[in-house]
Amino acid sequence: MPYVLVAIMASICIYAALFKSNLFKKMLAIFLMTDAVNLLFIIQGYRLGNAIPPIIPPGMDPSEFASIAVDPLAHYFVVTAVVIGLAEVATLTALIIYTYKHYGTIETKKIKELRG
Amino acid sequence: MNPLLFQAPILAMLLCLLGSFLCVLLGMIMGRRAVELLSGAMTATTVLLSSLALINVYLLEGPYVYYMGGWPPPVGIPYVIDRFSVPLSLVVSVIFFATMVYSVRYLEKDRDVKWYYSLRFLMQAGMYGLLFTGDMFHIFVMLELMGLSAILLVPFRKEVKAAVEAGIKYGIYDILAISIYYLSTAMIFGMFGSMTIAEISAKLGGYVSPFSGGMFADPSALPVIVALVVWSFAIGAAIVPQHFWLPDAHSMAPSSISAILSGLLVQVNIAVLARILYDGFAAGSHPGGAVGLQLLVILGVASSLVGASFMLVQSDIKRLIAYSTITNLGFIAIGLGVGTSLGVSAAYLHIVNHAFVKASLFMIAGVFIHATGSREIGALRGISKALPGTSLLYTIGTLAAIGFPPLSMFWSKLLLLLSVLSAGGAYQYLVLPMVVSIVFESIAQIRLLAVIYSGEKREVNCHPSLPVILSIGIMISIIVVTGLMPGLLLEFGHLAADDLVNVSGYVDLVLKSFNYPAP
Repeated sequence: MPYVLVAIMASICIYAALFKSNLFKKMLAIFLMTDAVNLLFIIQGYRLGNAIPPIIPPGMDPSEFASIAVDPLAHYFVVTAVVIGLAEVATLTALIIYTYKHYGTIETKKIKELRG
Repeated sequence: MNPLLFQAPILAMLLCLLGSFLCVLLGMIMGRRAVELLSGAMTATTVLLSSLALINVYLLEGPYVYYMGGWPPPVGIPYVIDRFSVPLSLVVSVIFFATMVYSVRYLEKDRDVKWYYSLRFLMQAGMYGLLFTGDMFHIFVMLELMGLSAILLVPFRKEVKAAVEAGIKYGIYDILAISIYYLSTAMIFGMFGSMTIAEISAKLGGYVSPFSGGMFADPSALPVIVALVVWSFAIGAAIVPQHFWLPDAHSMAPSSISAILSGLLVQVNIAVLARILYDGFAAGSHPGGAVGLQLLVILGVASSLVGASFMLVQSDIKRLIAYSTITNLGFIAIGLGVGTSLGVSAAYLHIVNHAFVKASLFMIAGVFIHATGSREIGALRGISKALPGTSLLYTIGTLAAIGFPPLSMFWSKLLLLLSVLSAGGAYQYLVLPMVVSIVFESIAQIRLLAVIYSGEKREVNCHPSLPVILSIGIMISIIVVTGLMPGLLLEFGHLAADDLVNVSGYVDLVLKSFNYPAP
């Protein structure tokens, strides 16, 4: 079930990023999609039942710890991606501000200097 | 092993990261001359380090794996220094050095050049990382490093309206592409439980890892992941139908950046895709990975045809060269997708040759635009009488681009056609669309040459300075010299294709620290 939610979220975001005409909405869609993937990582790393955080308690047998702890690797990926996401937000926001300064609008339908 | 030779490729990358920091610092304290000197010296050192790495891999030690931070894979990030990645890293260094020499005079009138040099260094570091890495998640990080600096460099002249528009267009699509790649890494993590490229292909062959065990899920869903990866890299490498950002971004960027974008960035993207498909998803043997190759062939044919036909109707010199990039990327995709050893080595040579040719064409187009003050092809009438030397260099570059016999791209195009013909089956009919697009491309390029050599002598705003001519001369002489030594070129391509296509060799190399194959 959580996987289906992630799939729906990611597809809506890809759709919005491609077909919305507002640049800011496009940007939000891309970052929501990154969040959907973060969620996917967390779900994959999580264990249902009596899961413990990935910090080994004193005196516990490592193999027993490995069988009940949640996966720290997924957390590592998500933290890295969140930090990278910050750089993306900064880049795109700066560009959107410049677009607004030049064109007075952030609707892609009204920005027609170039023809791809 | 000599520690300097062993660490040379990683030192080159670390030097770029350091240079990016120092450029901004020096620019704030000492001004632009210091920044230019520093980045010139550092780029020259990266050329030296990459050459050392090439000598080491080809003549002394052979391919090896560098463990980042001393952690062997699959725990840490492996940097695979083999005969596929090292020559490409030398190409990256040389083109960055040539454009460095070029930009000193080219950007004379621009302000805030410290950011320009700083971002260039970040992009170079990202390219080294992408070429060497053996880890799927590290590819994501390095794509961001390379992509974000490229996105910010396209609208470097931020007072130009169209440059900002090209930048935001490129920004949105490139970041979307990277996000789609991030989605596919999550799915790979769910299916294989590992991000090391070598472990993925080993697990497809039934390997049980001492850390993450065997496969987590049935590999029947692999084509979905492969399609997502191909999609994301097709946006990055501007393969039709995801090409629409490329002509805008490449034509609106400063010419020194266009040279890097068109000569390196798209090529690095497709080289990484080849690495993932062949060594990660075992495209040569596993049916799931082979889907990626078929996709590449289909998209490549579309790409070469669309790019070549759009070249015929362009009136802007930089857009014409940008569409030529799309055409040639289509050829590279076809060569990689055919999947034979000959096809891969032809595609590899085409990557290298096209990088030099396209970078030099964009650099000369920058000189023409400065001289005439216009990007229109019509404005170039009579330029050959005013700037005879530059026009001669441009002619050599164009002849190389259309595959005129003794020049470098002739050999790779010939090999591509031969590989398609020898692949047999339905693939041999691909020779028809390829020949059609080569003919279209030649018509468009020769029409441009005819404009340059027609008309009366005209006035020009400025003549190119010596460093600019020198940097273009380096590139053109590389094109001529490599074209005159096809034997050496073929040898390089053959060895690179060997290292790429031979999956078991790659897996042995990367995983040998854990006694692969495990009992």
